[in-house]
Amino acid sequence: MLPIAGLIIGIILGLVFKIPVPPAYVRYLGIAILAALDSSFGGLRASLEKTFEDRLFVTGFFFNTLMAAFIVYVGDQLGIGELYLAAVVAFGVRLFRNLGIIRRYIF
Amino acid sequence: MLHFHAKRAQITTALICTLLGFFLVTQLRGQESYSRSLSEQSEQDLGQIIRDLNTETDTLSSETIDAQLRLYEYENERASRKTILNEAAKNLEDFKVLAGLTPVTGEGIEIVVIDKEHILNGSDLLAIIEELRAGGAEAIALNQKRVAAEAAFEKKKKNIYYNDTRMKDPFRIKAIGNPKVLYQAITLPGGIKDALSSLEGVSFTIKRKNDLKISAFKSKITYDYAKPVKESGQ
Repeated sequence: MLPIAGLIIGIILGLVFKIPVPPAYVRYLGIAILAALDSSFGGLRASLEKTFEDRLFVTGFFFNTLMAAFIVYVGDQLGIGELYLAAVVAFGVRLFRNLGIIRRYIF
Repeated sequence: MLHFHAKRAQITTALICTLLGFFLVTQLRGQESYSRSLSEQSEQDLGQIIRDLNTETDTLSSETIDAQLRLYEYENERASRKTILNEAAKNLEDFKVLAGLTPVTGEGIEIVVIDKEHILNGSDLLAIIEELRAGGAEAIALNQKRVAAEAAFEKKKKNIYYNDTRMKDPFRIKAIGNPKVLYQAITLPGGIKDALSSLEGVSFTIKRKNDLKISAFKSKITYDYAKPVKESGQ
């Protein structure tokens, strides 16, 4: 139950500290959150498969998040904003696969 | 329901979930503020923005029109002042001609009066000049001397003096004005010519001239006693 409590605490913190995000960075934070969600569901799936390793989870979470934002940034700098879509599709596909596996464990 | 291997794993996962929740809320807020920027405005809001901008444009263009109107008024004022000045200059010129202060040229008549017996008086010459004035003469000269408002004739020992200058016979009187009217004024039956010609040794010659030249009145005019009266309400 601790992770869920952490999630709730994070939401409350976000509501309390109203950190403004410049419109130009909304894209990057968005893709970073998609990567974070992917990592989180990957962790959930790993724990259900009893293969969860916290070190792998933590490094994966941060690496995926930062890399996702970085790739989109590079794409924007090179004039290929479509790289954003590539990241969205890649993380989206993984997210759905993880969700599918989790669904099979729970039900 | 969920089975984590260790307590440490639970804590790290919890921390990461905290981070995730924090990011999620921040992003939702950011998305909200982003949607408030122009590209994500609703059609209604965009319409409102356009209306506001149009109002501002209208205000500014009406200000421009006001400024142009004021400029136009100033220019008008300047032009009318110029007109007044020109008129004043023209009036001054007219008054100068009238007062005999400027040399003038134009058509008119020339009268040559020969007085062999020296019987004419200053008043006779003055009478001729009066007739010319009555005939609308705009400038008169007697023996090249301008006859202005200050004309004074005097007879001393057979000689006629005009403003202390001796006038020699023959008397040459030039008058600028309508030649026909001037001629009629002088030759009127029973007029000045008839009256003076009847005198012994006096003869008149009247010629119509196209380009008479009359010089300016030379003597300085000074007013020691007469002072202009200031009109009330001015």
